[in-house]
Order: sequence, then structure tokens, then C-alpha cells
Amino acid sequence: MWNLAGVGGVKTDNKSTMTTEVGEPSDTDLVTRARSGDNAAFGALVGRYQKVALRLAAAISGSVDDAADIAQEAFVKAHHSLPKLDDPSMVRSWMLRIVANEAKNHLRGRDRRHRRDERYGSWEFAAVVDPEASALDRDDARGLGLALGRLGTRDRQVLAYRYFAGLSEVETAQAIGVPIGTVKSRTARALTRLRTEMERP
Amino acid sequence: MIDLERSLGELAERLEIPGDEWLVADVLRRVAEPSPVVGRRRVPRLAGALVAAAVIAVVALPGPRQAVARWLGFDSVRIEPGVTVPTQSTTTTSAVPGGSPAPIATSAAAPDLDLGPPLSIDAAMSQTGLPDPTPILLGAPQSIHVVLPPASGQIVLVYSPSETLPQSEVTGVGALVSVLPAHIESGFFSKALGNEAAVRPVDLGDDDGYWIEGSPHQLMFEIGDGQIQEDTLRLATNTLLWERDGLIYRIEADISLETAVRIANSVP
Repeated sequence: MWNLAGVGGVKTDNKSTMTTEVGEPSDTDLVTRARSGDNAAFGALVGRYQKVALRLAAAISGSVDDAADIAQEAFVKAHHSLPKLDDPSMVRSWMLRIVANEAKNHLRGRDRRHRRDERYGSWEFAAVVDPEASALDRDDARGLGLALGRLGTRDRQVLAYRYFAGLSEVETAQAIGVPIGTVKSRTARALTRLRTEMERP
Repeated sequence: MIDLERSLGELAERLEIPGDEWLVADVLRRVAEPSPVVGRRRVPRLAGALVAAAVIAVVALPGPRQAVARWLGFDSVRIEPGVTVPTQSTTTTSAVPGGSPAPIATSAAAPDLDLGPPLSIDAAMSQTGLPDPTPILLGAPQSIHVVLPPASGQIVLVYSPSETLPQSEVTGVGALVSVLPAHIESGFFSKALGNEAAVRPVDLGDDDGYWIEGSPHQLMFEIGDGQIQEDTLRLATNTLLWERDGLIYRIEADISLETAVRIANSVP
């Protein structure tokens, strides 16, 4: 299942685009250890994917303030559900799927559009280190965040998986539970709608 | 023109999200805590072994339905095929005092579906925290109910038979429209459905939907991840399910997919 990409290279899971440095335990190793009661191994998995989990939670829920709570709840649920994980090498997309579901739970019953505008409109962004290399100034970033919040959940979800969590099309297909062709078409449609929302006065 | 893909990547990189410095420690503290629901977590493992026997029991004996259902489930929606139930009686219409003429439930309709007493939509929304699922195309329902489970409740709207909504041989009413907090896990469909019913994904614009048709089937839902909640069984005819913002909406009626989609798209 694992391939060595040469001396001094990286190990690559052939079902995932995720790579780990040589010497670091693989996801499969960590899942195996976590299943046998090694909580530190599960902590290593959380540490490995917390950043993308937080981004995914924020992108789907719109709430950066609640993203950590959403991610925490999702990781706890993932820990309880580890015995149900069929393929340990898929743990990243599996955990992120739980995060996405938890983020959607967060929206229940209160996802009125004006509230979404409030959440996505309150996003703050780190300053640009190299303006020449940046595609977005602060206003662009705010406008893009607002436009994202105005998309439907399905569009936001596919964009969140692809660009906030950094999942490949294959991983996104696994996480959502649809064929890869559907991910491609949904992503294209979501980007078109996002552009329309950005151009809306 | 802005490069959206590159811009989204940069947006994700620069978005300031508090909390990552404590997340690992917080998760580890929680998973190390003795679980208050240790006994309940065994339920999902037991469920797999009990499914076959449970479905038979559910079909044969109305009495143990709720009890059996509590023991079933993982995440979200599960569909089991091949269940038949007696045809229910018809409904009539009456006038609401102080208001315009509107249909109300008879004692032979909604109550036989174990939906409990009718209430107002405001009361149902207040009680469950759920949005009003009333499709604009259908207008006000014959009766409104809050059904447990889940513990927080689901809203069920009952519609009388009409020209648009033929009387269902299964439910005896024109349509049931409901909303509940749960997820659709698409993997369930291919695993759970046999030859007697068919399911296919439906594109509802912003939402993912599934159309289930064929023989009457049972629909069971539950929120999993070790948190077993009260469950129930629903008897359905053709059904359109769709998920929106962490909620599952459902239309059950003897109607075409095209009609169901039009109705679904009229839910605000």
C-alpha cells in the first residue's frame, strides 16, 4: 500500500495525495496504534490534520469562532468511530467527512442567509507577506468570503473540500460519496456560481 | 479576471481561525475521559448482528417496532425494502374556527400513523428548533405534528389526498412532508436496498437528493457516532429525500419524481 519515493524522499499512500516525511509514522500506523488504545497516536493524527479540519469547518459553517469546537467534536466522534473505519489509509478523508458533517450540524435551523452574511463577512485575514505573490488584497478576500457564504451548502462543501482542506478530486469523491466525475462537474459549477456571486453588486 | 482556484487557496491560508493551539490537548482530554455512554456505544456493534432478525420482527409485529428501532442504526438514514402495511382510511375536511376553511385531520388519518396530536407550525418550530418545511406549492397542510425521535423532534406535515396528491395505498393520506436533523449517507442505499425498491440520486440544485420508488419500504434514521438516539420507523411510498444544511427533508407520496422535485424546490 505504501511506496517509497526514493532515498530521502517521501512515503506516498497510493490512495491519497497525502505524503508524510520518512521517519514519521504513516496514517495507517497511527490508526492501528490508536485502535489499540494509544491515545498519543490519535493525538498525532489530530495534530496532522487539525489545520485543514479547522479550515473545512470554517468554510462550511462560516464561523471561525466555532471552528475549533466543531473540529473538536468531530475528532472525538472520529475516535469513537475508529473501529468502523474500513481502510485506515483513508483516515484523512474519513475524518474530514466527519468534520464536514459536524459543520453542517452547526448550521441546523439557523442558516438564514442574512446570518450567513454576518458569519462570512466577519472573517479576518492574515496580512500579506509578499504582495507581489498574492492574488488577494484584503477587500478581495472579504468579497470572496462573502460570495462563498452565499453559495448553497453543496457548492460550499465541494469548494471547502478542494481548496480549504486541500483534498484531491479522488479524496473529495470519497468524502462526499459521489463519483469523481460528479466532483469535477460540481466543482466547475460551484466556481461558476462563486464568480457570479462575486460579480453581484 | 481573478483566478478563483488560486484565490480560494490563498483565502484558506490567510483565514485566521483561533483554537488550533489547544485542539489536540482538548481532544485527547475528552477521549481519555470515562465515557458516560459506554454501554450505549456497544449498540452499533450489536446492530449489525441484529439487523436481519430485527427487520423481520418489525414487519411481523407492530408492538416491538419502536424498541427494535432503537437498536438499529449508524449515521443518518437507512432504508430497508419489502415492508407492507395495511391501507389506512381516508380523511375529510372541515373549517378552522375563526379562519378560512381548511382541512383538518380526522381521527382515522394522522393518528393511525402514530404522529401524535396536531399542533400549529409555530409551536412545532418552537418545540424542535427546526425551520418550517411547508412547500409553497402544497400550501398549508391538513395537520402538523412533532414526532419523536429524534429527541429534539421532527416536524411532519400531513396532506390530504387531492388531484395532485393521490391517496397513498400505504399511508392513506396524500403526502407526508417532514424535516429532521440527520444526514444522508449515500453508501446506505446501495447496501440496504434489495430488488424490490430502487433509489437514484437526484440533483436539486443546491441540495443532494435521493428518489426511492418501487415497493413500500421502511425508512429508519438515527444519528450515530456512538450517540444512539430514540428512533422510529416510517412507512413510505415513493419518497424524495434531500439534505440541506444538516437537515433531511422528506416527501412521501404516490407522485412522480418530476412532481416531487417541483414540490421540493418550493420549500423555502
